[in-house]
Amino acid sequence: MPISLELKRKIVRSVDDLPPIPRVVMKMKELMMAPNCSAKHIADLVSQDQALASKVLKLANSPYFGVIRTISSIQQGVAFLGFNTLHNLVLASSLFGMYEKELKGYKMAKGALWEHSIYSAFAAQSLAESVGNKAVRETAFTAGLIHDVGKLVMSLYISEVFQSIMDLVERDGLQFLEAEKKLLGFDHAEIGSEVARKWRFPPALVNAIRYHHAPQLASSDADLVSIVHLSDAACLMMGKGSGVDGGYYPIDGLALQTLKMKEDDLQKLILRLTSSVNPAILEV
Amino acid sequence: MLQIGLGELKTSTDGKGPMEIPNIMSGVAVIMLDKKRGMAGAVHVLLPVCNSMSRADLTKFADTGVKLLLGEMENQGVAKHEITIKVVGGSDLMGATNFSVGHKNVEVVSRVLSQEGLLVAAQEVGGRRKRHVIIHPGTGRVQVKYLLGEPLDI
Ligand SMILES: [Fe+2]
Ligand SMILES: [Fe+2]
Repeated sequence: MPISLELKRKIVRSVDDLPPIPRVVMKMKELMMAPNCSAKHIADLVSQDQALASKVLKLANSPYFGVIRTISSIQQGVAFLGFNTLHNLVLASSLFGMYEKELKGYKMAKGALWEHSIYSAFAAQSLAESVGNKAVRETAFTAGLIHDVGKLVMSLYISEVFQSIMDLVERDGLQFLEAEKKLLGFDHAEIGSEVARKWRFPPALVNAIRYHHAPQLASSDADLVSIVHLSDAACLMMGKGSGVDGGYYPIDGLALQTLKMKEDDLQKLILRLTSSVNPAILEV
Repeated sequence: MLQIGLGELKTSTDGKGPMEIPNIMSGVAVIMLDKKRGMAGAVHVLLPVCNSMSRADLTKFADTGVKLLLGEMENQGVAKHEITIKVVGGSDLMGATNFSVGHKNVEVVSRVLSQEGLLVAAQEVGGRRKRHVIIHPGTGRVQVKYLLGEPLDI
């Protein structure tokens, strides 16, 4: 049965129903890109937003970062965390409200998408540190964090055709992504890349989301796309926030070649993740 | 309920009542039961062969994890021949077989158990689904739950 145009329009419209990324988070990124940006500039911006300011202080003083002395000024906090980490943390905690919800269509319990995304973000950052160039290192965390953002939109529509999706996956051997596309006209990677575009994320991030389940199809940003693909796979294998779809995605060995990694490196990544991630620190 | 997380080993003397092992995907839960005394121990390993120098990592690998669990059971006074073993987990993603960490985990668990002269009484392994396990040490009942569909007793 062909998918009705009406359904496809409805799904695309749902992308617009997602709340925007807070302006201050985008503004922070803009400031950071400026060549003469200082901790003072960022601190001034942060101080304008009471909630954000207290968030930054809490994060800077989190035992997770191993601070010994108390950080009491925003400017100290900004300098201590560094621009990139600060931006990652602020973006992550601004997504928390959206991400901790249950996603019924994927049978993901409350908190599962958050856990999956945080683990994927740390995994991507960890891979990027060993294989990525500067641009990749600076975007990997965000890419891991938002790679499944399309699920926020698709979950509702998947619920409506759930049994048919499971039939395609379990009986006909389709990937979950293929079943989404076949029954709804879109998959969560496509829709997620639309969300990223709407949120005005740079093209590399849009690509990383678009191709996170099929890195071989990306025509640019191969490193970042492969990093997100393998990070996602590692988290799925660990059962970190995976839903009923979790086992029905392929893992692409070429992504390792792209990054000049060996098979064993994926196991090493999994081992690192067992001791280096604490999703709770960002729930502020 | 006593929770056993990824890479953790616990025995029922650590707590009372049932034990739960959530979110088992490519990892494998190895469960050892002493039905006579109503006690149990379990480890949730996630990688096949130990290559780590850190003690804290030993319960994360199939080979070292199984041996540590066995040692822990023996420490609690359980004789080898009294142990009933159940194995759950080892799912894999689709695609390249050389990444089948789940399959390898199950293989290593079986190999080490048989080297120790131990038989597996029941197992629910492989496939693509995520599993949750509830262990009832008093009765030796092991319940496997899925995100979808009926739970299974093994
Ligand atoms: Fe995905
Ligand atoms: Fe994912």
